[in-house]
Amino acid sequence: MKYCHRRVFQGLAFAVLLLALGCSRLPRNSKTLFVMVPKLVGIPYFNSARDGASEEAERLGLHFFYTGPTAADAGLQVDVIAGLLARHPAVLAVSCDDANALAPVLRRARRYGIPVLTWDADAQPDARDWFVSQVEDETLGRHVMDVLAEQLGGRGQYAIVTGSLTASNLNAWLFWMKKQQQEKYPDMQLVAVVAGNDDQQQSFVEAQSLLQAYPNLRGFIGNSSAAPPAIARAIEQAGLSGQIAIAGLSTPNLMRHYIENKTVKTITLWDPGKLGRLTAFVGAMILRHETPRDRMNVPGVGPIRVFPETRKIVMGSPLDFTQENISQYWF
Amino acid sequence: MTASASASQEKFRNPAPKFSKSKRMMELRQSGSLQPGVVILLVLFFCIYAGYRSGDFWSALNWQLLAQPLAEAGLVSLGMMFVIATGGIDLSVGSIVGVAAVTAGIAAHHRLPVPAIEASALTAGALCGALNGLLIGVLRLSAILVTLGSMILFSGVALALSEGSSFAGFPDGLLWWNDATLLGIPVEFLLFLATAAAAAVLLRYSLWGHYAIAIGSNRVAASYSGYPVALTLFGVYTLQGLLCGMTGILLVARLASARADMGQGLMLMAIAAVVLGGAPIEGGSASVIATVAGVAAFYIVQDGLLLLDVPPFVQHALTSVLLLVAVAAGVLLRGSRENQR
Repeated sequence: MKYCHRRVFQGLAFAVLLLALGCSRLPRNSKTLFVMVPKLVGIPYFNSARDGASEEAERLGLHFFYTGPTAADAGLQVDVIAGLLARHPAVLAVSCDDANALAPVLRRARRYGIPVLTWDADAQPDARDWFVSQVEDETLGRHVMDVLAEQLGGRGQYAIVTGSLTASNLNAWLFWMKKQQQEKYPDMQLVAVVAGNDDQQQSFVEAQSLLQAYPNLRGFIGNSSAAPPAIARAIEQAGLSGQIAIAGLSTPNLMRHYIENKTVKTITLWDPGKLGRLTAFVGAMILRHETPRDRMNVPGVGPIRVFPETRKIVMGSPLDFTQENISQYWF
Repeated sequence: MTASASASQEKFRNPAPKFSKSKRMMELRQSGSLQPGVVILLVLFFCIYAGYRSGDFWSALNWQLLAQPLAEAGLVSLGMMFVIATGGIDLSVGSIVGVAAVTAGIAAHHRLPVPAIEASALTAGALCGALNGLLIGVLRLSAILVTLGSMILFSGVALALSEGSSFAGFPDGLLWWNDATLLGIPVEFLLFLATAAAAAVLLRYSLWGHYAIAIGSNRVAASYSGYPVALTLFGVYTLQGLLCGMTGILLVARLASARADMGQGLMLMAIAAVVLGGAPIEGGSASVIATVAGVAAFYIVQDGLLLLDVPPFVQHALTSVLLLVAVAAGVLLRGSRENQR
């Protein structure tokens, strides 16, 4: 009996100690509070975006707050955003896990007078003020085809391994890749488009069977971040390193090994750090009641494109990772 | 040894519950009653602290926004309370929510009127629950095995029905559940309160509630006493399915879309809420107030931690610390009380 009471008192004393440690009041900084929500926290891609955004926000005098769900789940993301609305942030920037599921909570934020940006992945257009996009679909698709054609000398058979045949962003890139080849490289021939379902193992199997089916195949495009490393592994295992060219979209961390051992020369993506930087910059402009202008120069990012009719801001050109620069990037 | 477990053992030795049962039942119901008090105290303590540190914590907006996910998890927890009271467990609740949501999505896709969409989601949920009830109540299979299997089965059904994609384009009448408020209180939350009141009446004053508790404290004795064990269990799991259907509708309204994997986190949340309220996991005792306190504690603390700038991964850890502290405190205090007797 007595023993038990002592335990309760010990517990209380511990709680009081904790309170005393954390008793400074948090400032109510909602007038300058810039809240950034990724699809999920803890992965290198979004960490990189966070670092860029926090640096830029600090430079512009914003109070930066970054939080998000611990798993890529639209429901969890909505709960986190609903919790954040109570702080009445000055600007809310969200990379949407699901364009439909996020729309109601973002619309509600706008009803409360909070300007909403989407970055990296858009919501339904009426649920946000501006979408800060990484690269235009056309620029990216055409650029990847240029990278492959340069390695092939503009001739020969090639195949494409994409993520899934229903993903709208992947299909848009695919469309422009094919268009660029038809317009500029008539001597190249597309033999197959297969889907690896954003899965490295499945992409690997698809690439292997393509290698067997088309002995004259000279190049590959991997059109989803899981595809290029899988293709590179298939080529390496077939002993064809250096004979078959690879281009496509993936992250430096996934491709580092294959770029360092020269199986892959160039891989393309964009810089998420710059995307975060631009998002914070646009957030600060909205706070100053300014409108982004087409071709304006953003420090640390470069000239941007602005499309007022679709309320879309495009960061600009894609980024190529090669042996020279890959050590500078970690995502 | 907890009060309820020892009581049920005593009963097993002496299966003559005819005259002793009502008194036993009263004791069993009261035995866990200290823990919700501890939980409420801890949460109040936390609220004062969070309100002091963050100026936004006590804003009406915060509580409005908090009430909606709380209501959804709360409905599932009420069903789970009955299930755990009978000594069972339902691991399939998240998958049933997914089936209900996808059914609503298909109904909306075929442009059915709003009541028909809601009815189809509720029916789908209840049917899933009824299947569990049939296997557990009538065929007397183990609840944990049956619902482990049906968890995978139902999520497979939901995935197959939706072909893995998400539904959108729900009519405004359905989205009303997300936006409507009455005197500033979201209707979602009012629906939860009404359901909780109905559950309390069912638990306390209906024969069925009495049977459920009796089955949980001693199934053998209950069936010797001529209680309709199979029918009661069938009802408990069907009710759980129905409540999951309601949750599915509310989730669809709040996210304006439907996906097969929608209810994923709800299963652990519901079980944890019931246990946090002090209900013994081996069954035989239940309280609506304790369950509501349990689920509210989770959401209030999670929301408060978010407002206190606590990083997301630490939030998870701290929320589970709450669970452990409350359970430990409840057991310690209960132990001291028994020693006094």
